[in-house]
Amino acid sequence: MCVDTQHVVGDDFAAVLAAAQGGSEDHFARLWRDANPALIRYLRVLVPDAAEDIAAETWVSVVRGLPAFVGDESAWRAWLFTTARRRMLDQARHVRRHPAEPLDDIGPAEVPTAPGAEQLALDNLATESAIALLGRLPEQQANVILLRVVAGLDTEVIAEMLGTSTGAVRVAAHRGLRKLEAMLTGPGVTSRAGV
Amino acid sequence: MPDSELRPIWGPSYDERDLDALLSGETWSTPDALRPVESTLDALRAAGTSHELSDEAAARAAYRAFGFAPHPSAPFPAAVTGQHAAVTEHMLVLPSVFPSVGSRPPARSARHRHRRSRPVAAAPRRPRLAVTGAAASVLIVVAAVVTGVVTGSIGELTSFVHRPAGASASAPATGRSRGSQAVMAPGAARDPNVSPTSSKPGERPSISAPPSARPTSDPGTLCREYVQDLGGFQDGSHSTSASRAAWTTLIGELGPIAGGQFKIFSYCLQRLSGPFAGNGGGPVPGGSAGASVGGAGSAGGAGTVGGGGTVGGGGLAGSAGASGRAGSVGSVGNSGSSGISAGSAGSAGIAGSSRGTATDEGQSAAPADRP
Repeated sequence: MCVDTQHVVGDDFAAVLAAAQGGSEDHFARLWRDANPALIRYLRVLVPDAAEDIAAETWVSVVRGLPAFVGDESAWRAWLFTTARRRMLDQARHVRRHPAEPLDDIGPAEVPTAPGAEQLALDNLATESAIALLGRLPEQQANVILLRVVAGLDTEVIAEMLGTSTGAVRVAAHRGLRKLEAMLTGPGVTSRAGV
Repeated sequence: MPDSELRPIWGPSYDERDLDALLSGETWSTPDALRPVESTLDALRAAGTSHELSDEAAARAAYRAFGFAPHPSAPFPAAVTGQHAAVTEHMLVLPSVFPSVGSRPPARSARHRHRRSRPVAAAPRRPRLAVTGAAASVLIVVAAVVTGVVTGSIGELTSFVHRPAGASASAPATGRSRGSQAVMAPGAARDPNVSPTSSKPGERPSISAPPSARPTSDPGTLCREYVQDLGGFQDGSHSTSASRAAWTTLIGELGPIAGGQFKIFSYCLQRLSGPFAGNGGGPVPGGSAGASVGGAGSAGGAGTVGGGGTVGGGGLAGSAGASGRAGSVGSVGNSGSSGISAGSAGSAGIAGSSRGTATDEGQSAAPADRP
């Protein structure tokens, strides 16, 4: 059941990246299919309301800097999530400067809904439950766990991204896991998350 | 990391190693207490859903929008170049130069349009300066004569210059030439340029130089010409360019001698005052030499003293009849004055005032001539 999303490209990463940098759209699409689900999940935990928008802006930034990128797959992922984090901070800054007004005039029947949401929920119930659980964690702990699990980054890279030490990253990750375990084994909660 | 391999019998049944193993995806030795957490993390690592992959078209569009070619095999720089080339084919190239522009003068900015033209270079100032100096001299003379401030030789000088040659009653009045004769005659004794051929009484002295030409650059001669030409500014004889050139030349010659153009008048005044200082009676003994106008003028005094020379004395006295002082002196020589008076009528006011002074000169000079 455990499907590793960290190394989809694998050993072919260098060739795929070179082709994408040379103008191959298909190779770029391969890179995108590899990283975008993890990116969406990461963003959905931290900024649920603007995950898709921030993901789109992240990819725009990645496309701009793609010809100049040099590195392996781990560096590629680190660059991608670092860019996403920066766009996320920009989004939070924009929301603070331009607060949204409630749409009181629009009734519940007029609010558009995403097509296939029910089907999506049925297909990925475990993932949605997991994202919901991590959303209940403190931001720093959830951020570290997501970067460690979803993005597959090392402790040193995460520490560099967040501007902290590796020990603090490890402590935050452990605390998050303990809290997650407490939430899962508490009263009224089944032993298997989302199942 | 704990040193003991034994798990604690109290508290949680897992340690940090188990947590690190969960984060790394190593699920083969997961404690039972962490099974739910393990399942959650596995759900996060699951493959992408259709919803998460639905925006691939947008990602491809962004990829193409930023300069990457849609053709997979096309190299990046060539794709960019080809795209720009396609744009160039459909570009409307406007002509850089319009047909009518060639005939137009080059456009000038507003700043240059309103720029003032340069002033024309000033003309040489030296001729103007000389003329101005001469005019100033004339004005000084006129003002002095009219107001009567200047006394002494100037009145006699001007009267002497403009006096017609009618010192001799028989001689016709011919203006300047006669004046020259009148000036040169009394100075013949000391003026080397004038060579009286006859000093006998009753003979008219001949003049070697032409009357109007300046024979030499002797200061005395130059001064006489200067005084003569001063009168030319009044009667209009300096209206021609030739006379103005001659005047300029004269000023140029007298200037260094006198120590400056503005000192010419005083220099000539001192220079020419000699003839009126008592020398007049010399060459005209007994008044018989009445043909000499200058001598006659000066001889008025001499005639007064000597009792002779009535013609000369009458010449000066007759012309100075308008002046009270001159009239008294002129009464001494009372004969033959009518013709001379008529001849000096052209001297206008200058002569009128100068006559009196000239008479005074002659009067004062008379004692010096006394033996």
